[in-house]
Amino acid sequence: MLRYALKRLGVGLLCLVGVSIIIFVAMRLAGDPTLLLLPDDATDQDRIELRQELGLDKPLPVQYAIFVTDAVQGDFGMSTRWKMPAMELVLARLPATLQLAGLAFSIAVAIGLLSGVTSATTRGSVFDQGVRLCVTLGLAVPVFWVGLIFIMVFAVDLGWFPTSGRGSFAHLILPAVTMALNPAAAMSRLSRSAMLGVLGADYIKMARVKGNSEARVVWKHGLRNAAIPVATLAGIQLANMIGNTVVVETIFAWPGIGKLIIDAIFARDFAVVQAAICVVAAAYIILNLAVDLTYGLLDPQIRYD
Amino acid sequence: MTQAPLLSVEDLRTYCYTRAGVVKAVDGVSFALERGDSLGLVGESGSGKSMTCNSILRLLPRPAARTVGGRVLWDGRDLLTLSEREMRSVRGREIGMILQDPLMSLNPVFTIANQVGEPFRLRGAAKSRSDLREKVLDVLRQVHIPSPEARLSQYPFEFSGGMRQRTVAAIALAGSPGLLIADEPTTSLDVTIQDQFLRLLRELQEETGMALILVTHDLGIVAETCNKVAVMYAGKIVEFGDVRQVLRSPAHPYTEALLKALPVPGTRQKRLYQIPGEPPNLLDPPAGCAFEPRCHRAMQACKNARPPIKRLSDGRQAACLALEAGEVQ
Repeated sequence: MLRYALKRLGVGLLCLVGVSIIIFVAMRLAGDPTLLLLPDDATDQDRIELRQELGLDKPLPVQYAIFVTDAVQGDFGMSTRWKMPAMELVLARLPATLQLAGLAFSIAVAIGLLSGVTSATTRGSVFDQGVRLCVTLGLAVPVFWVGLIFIMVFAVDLGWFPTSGRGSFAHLILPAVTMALNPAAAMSRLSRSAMLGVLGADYIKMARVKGNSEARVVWKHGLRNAAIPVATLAGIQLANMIGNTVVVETIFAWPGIGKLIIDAIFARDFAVVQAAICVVAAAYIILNLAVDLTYGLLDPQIRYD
Repeated sequence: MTQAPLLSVEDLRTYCYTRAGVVKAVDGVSFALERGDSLGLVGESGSGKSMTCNSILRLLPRPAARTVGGRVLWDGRDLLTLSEREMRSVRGREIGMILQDPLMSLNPVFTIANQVGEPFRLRGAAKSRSDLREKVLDVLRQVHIPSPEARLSQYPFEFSGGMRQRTVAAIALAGSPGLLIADEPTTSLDVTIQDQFLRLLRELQEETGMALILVTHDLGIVAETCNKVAVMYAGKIVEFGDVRQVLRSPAHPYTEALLKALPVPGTRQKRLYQIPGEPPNLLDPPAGCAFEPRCHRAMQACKNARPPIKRLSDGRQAACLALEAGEVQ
């Protein structure tokens, strides 16, 4: 199991290198930061000097080598816009994103599982039909649109929640619910079909024969067997949420990593974008590994070797 | 009829509601069991054997099937009128059940100790963890699981088919039920294991005095294991009685035909006997006796009237018009 985990971490490290190369090259294709950093009346000489100062005059492979050497030592460079270490900036924004993603994820799993499993046990009922309609809506409606409608209805018209920003718990609710809708719908659909596959099994009937209550039959004997696909999706969703906060954070002016990435891209702040993407990618890799390791807990037949 | 029987099923009717129409899967089944009895419930696939058992424990696939009439008297109560909560305390404790497929009856993600211990936990029968462990080991020993201590933390996939079936039996025993329903318990096991398992069932029955309903389509198994037999055809019991009487001199032409279809060891038969025709379409059953189209004793009257089940002079019961006309025996 330890060997498996280490092997997976090694592969993850390779992924991280790949991601850093892509983002490194892509950012340098996006434009010249000196055009934004210098005033309009700056001379070509000023520009050349600034490029030298930032190290942008060197060939791309050399620039990347310098980046990697520094990054390994924990130095992701200085932000050209905020004039502070890029990684420090990213880590300062990380808690806000984790808070948002964490709540959104909890909402998605709670609603998704509850509606999906109940849908499966009451197959064909009015509840089941209603859930199916909601799932289709939840998957079809774009996030940015939902966010804007929520702000209009619940913040502007009804005044229940603040329109944007971070502060009280009330600030958290609209962006978290907006982010949760789509994954909740996917989770509901998947847990419904996974449970339907399990509920017809003989061991479910056996659990009833033993005298288990219907709730124990479904939530203990049933759900544990439907858990693997559900856990897989949950892991992917949590990882996605950390990366997908960009849209929601922008709409609700939530000061997290997603918003930082957008601002940094517009400012051609290479160091910040690279640091933020590396953090998101690392989170993705670690969460995926964590999901793969929980399979062993969920299904005794899975061994890691 | 001085003392009430242990289990008395009276005019049980369970219908299946399919898109094509209503199927009377169990159509007026009645029988009674005494303590220590073992009843063989035989008949071909679709004759309503399993449906009868599932109706007794109220484990029908809802909403497709529903018991629409009759009584199941157990210990002075009609099981069909109990609340779901009361029914749960009957299941597993008073009446146990062994399902057909041992490979599928155990939950793949829980340990053997967990699954065998569950009936004890559900009725709060274990005082402590070590007490529970002892009780689990006891029932595992009772069903002859070798070195049960080493088996506790294993999972079903680490067990052979025969061992899984014995574990299922251990789970049924854990509730110390007064009646055990075994629904074709050996169909998916090979013949040697099958024989071992049936011997185990008889042994357990002797030890505990529980009654047994054994669903099977194998008359040989019934002859070895049971003292009573009920032959089902198209949702009805066509013959019910003492196993030796019924197997030696069947009263109903269907039982007779079933026995004729058995291979006889030591003789060279070119072809096994086959009952002509097919079982009736239960969506549109014949107006008269359901077996009439395949019966060699069929009379004109059989086409029109359903034969009632009648007690014969030797105490057994059979449903055949020819019997009344004195044609059989």
